[in-house]
Amino acid sequence: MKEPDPVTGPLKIRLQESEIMVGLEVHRQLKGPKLFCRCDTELRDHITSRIERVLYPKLSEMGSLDQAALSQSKRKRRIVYELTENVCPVDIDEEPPIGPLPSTLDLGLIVCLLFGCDLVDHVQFMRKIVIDGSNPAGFQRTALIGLDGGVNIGSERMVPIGTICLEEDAGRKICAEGDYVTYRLDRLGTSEIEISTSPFISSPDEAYMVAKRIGDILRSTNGVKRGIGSVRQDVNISIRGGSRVEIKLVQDLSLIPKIVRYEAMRHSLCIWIAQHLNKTGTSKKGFSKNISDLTSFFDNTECGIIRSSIERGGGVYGVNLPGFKGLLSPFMMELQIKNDDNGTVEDITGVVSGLGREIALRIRHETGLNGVIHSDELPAYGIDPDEILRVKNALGTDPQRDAFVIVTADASKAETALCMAVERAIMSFEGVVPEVRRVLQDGTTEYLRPLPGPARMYPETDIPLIRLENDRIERLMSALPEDPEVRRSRLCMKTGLSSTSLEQITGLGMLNIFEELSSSEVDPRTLSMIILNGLGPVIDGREGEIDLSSDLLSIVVEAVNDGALAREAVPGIFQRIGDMIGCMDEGAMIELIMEEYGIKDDDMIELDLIIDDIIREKRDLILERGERSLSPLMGLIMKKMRGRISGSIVEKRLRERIGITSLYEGKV
Amino acid sequence: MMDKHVSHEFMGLTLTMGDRIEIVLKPKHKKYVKSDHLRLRGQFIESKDEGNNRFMFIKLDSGYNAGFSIDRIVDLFLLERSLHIEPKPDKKARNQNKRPIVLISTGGTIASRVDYGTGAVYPPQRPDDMISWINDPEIMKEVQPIISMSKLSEDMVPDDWMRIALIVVEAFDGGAHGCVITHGTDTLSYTACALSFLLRGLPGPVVLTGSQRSSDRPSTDAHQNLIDAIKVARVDGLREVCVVMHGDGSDGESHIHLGSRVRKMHTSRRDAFHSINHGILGIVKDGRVEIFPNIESKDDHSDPRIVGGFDGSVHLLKYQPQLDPSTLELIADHHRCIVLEGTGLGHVRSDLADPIENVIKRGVPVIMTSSCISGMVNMNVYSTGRRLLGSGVIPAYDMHPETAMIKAMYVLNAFGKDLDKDGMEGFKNAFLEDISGELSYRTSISDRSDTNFECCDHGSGGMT
Repeated sequence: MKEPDPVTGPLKIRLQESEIMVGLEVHRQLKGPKLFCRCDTELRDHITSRIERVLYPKLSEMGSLDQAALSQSKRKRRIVYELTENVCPVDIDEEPPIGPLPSTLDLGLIVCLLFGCDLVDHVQFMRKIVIDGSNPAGFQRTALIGLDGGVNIGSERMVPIGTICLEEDAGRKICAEGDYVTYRLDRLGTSEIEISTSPFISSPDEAYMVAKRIGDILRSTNGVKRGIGSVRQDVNISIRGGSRVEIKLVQDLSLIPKIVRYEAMRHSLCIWIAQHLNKTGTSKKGFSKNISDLTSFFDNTECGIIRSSIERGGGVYGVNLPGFKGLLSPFMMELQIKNDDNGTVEDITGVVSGLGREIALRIRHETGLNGVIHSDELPAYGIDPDEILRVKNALGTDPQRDAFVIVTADASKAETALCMAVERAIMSFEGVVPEVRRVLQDGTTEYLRPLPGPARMYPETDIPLIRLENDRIERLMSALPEDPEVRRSRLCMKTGLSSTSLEQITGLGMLNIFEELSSSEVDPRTLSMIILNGLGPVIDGREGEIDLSSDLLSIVVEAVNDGALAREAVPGIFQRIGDMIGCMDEGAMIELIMEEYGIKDDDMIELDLIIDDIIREKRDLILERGERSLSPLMGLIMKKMRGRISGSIVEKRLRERIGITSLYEGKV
Repeated sequence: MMDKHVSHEFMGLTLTMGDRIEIVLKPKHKKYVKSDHLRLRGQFIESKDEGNNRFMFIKLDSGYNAGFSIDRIVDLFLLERSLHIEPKPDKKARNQNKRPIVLISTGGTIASRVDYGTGAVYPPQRPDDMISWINDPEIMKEVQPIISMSKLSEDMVPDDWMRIALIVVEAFDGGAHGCVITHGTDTLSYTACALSFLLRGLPGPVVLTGSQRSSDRPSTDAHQNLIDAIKVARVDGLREVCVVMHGDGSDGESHIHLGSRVRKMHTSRRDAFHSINHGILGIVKDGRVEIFPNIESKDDHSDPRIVGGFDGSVHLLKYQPQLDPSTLELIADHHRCIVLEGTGLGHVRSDLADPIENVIKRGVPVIMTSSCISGMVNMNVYSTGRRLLGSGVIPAYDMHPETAMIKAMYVLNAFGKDLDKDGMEGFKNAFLEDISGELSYRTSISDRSDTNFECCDHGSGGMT
């Protein structure tokens, strides 16, 4: 890491909020069978068979601009597909697809309507060329259904939604080794809705709110899957004077503000580097792709990476990067983002990876080569100053202004790698490099691949056009789900529960059952307690939907209210239910639960005995304080009976006895 | 297929496919957000009428196609006319027969091309289009493409078999080492079978191939099938009409089938083609051709020529439990031969025995094949079969129904108009003589070809 300069300190940059543009692409899996066959979409562990395929990019039709497709085809790979029980010939491109279920399309249309989108009149599925192997056909099927909508944040802010598409999810990448990449096809074909906002001016936190609100509205349809993998966001970011960068597959919403902040810093740095190169008079002309063989300097090296590579027959090769001294190591950054409206300033500090890491990642992604070393990080890895000096002399590196990159590999791979290093360094003159990046756990990002050119799409002729009749749209409009925020505040009023509890219940996908039951005679507080403490951990543990009828839940709630089940036993009960789901029907499950957890006669007798004892012991207290002696006595009894008898039963019994005691004995 | 040149009238504008336009749309329903009107830009594709409604299809700048009702379009602007630069159809190949492998395109999926801009499907315009997408200069140097016709598989008729056979003979006369014929897959095995009977004295391989998944998709099987077919066409000493297609659901292995034995056994899978009652001739694995032993080399290979032709008045009739006995006589009124696809070992309902006997007496030969497709016809096991044999029904033994039908057409062509008693006997003898490996009177334990794909025992077959 670059030490803060004692004179200038970290690199300080200021931005206006209005200079940051963010666009979101939200992908959410829908419930129901796969989009173009009728297989289920559960993830499987059991592999029934494997097939091996090759995809042929159509170079002549790709156009010279599509760097992404070219980058894929540079690595000639064979693709192994793992087939599971929910894979059929449609999935492996051995059979034409069948059209989507009307109910799936309806769900897509409902989503469009909820976001105020205009609709097309004929839905036409397209083939979108994707040749990374994630789809055996070599394309993903996708249809545009909604246009020109918006999502409101608070009462005033409206973020525009450009398009909503209905598409199929891709296969799951299992591993990539050498010339083979393996995908499992259980997930392939899962219906998915894609919501793309137009680029909007945003603060890092607002980007999060938009994503959250979109997720909230999607959940209100009750038709989207939940759990890990069912939702992913792509975040597009650019700042003024930069270029668009796409951050792929953000699964955790709460990372979005971090990503936006990190990228804003990184983009600022890229622009600063371009300006710096300009200021120092560095020119693209100084670069040469002629690589030098440096192997002979490392005959007796202490560097393990280099030594083992040379032993395997590799060499050491390097290239000079004129004018790049100091630009390859990480930067300490201080970024101020000023809110345009209220003038408040947010200070962000952090470390942004330098050009050295960008170069190393590009090389690793495109050639699979590790062991890229640059001058800004030296001396390190056991490379001694003498070796560095000889490399510098051989490459003609000016120690005051130049940097160099060395790789250790066979000659042809090294040449490809070092050409890439030079290409990437030259890109720095343009500032931000348009590319696709992936997000790391800490919210920083790293290079994944070049930004794809305009999607190559052509009609999926195997699926007939679907005309959207007006009465279909009217039918859907008349039964749209309530806005989730409106609904929550209505339920807050009605049940007295906090908005947070309701959000948590929503998060578990249980709001519908909650509303259904809380409108009957069930106590909403008990119900929310049961859902959050009892069901919550079970649902989270299963990372997905739990298929539980409201009947079962209402029986448990009633039993708790009547005292037939102890309130404290609820988490255990649901753990048990979670284990039993799918193994037996609900009736049998309830019987078992009542038998295992229900209050037994023995417990009631014991309770009466304990109460007898307590009343005898604390007679004075009861006579003195009457009803008010209830809560201290409750505590004593519950110590002994917790988990066996519900507190409400204890309270009822105890209250009766205290009443009797004070009534009769108090008078004596 | 869409026609690029049809013009469509809209609001005083004449549009053709590919014109860049901007449309202004009224919302489809009452929206609660954003603009009253939506402006969209893209390429005009086509218009369609449905009932009283007219729809315009447009490829939006995002790449998506969508259809909009004309009623919603409040304004329409033409931004730019499309430029239709199309190569001139040039079906004559240059330097004909200067290259060792002649590739004859007949149409079908393997020849279809997609205009990625508009999605329109069109046949190849120039012979080189057939091979331009092969990324292998070595192979391309060897191949001389010819476009003989642009027909869908289902449109192929016996005259087309003759036309293809003529081109093959011409190619060999011109010095070709082998021929590759690309064909739609639905009737590919009919053409392969017909060519096996027609073509005699072949000096080299005639290899048919096709594609089950269209060549616009990156996953297409066309690539492997075509390259492997070309490689088989380069083999020395293989003087057969054969079919090269995917060997299983994975890429990498192709199977070489004998033309008179092969049959399409699946509607869509890439390994749909199977040899019936016969082993495959060899495999191409990861680009390497392996021909199995036991393939007899025909010694007559100096003089490639067409022998015979086809009589179209053969009817292939599938027996099913509700077949009306009068049907047979009605068919015999208009046909000179009936090929029956019977049940099991070769049976029909017993009340059909009389009409069958009558038909044979009228000089219309009746041939028995099996709807089981795989396995030998043997009519001696049950009484119905024996009765039919007694009436003169000709069992097709190990020929599958379509091969039996094409062979009947071929043999019948050699006989005069009406078959008298001697004629019937002559027909029977000719029909039961092997011409090109289609009939061997024996099957092998491993010759089971159905939709279970692991049953192809390599090398089990042999020519007799």
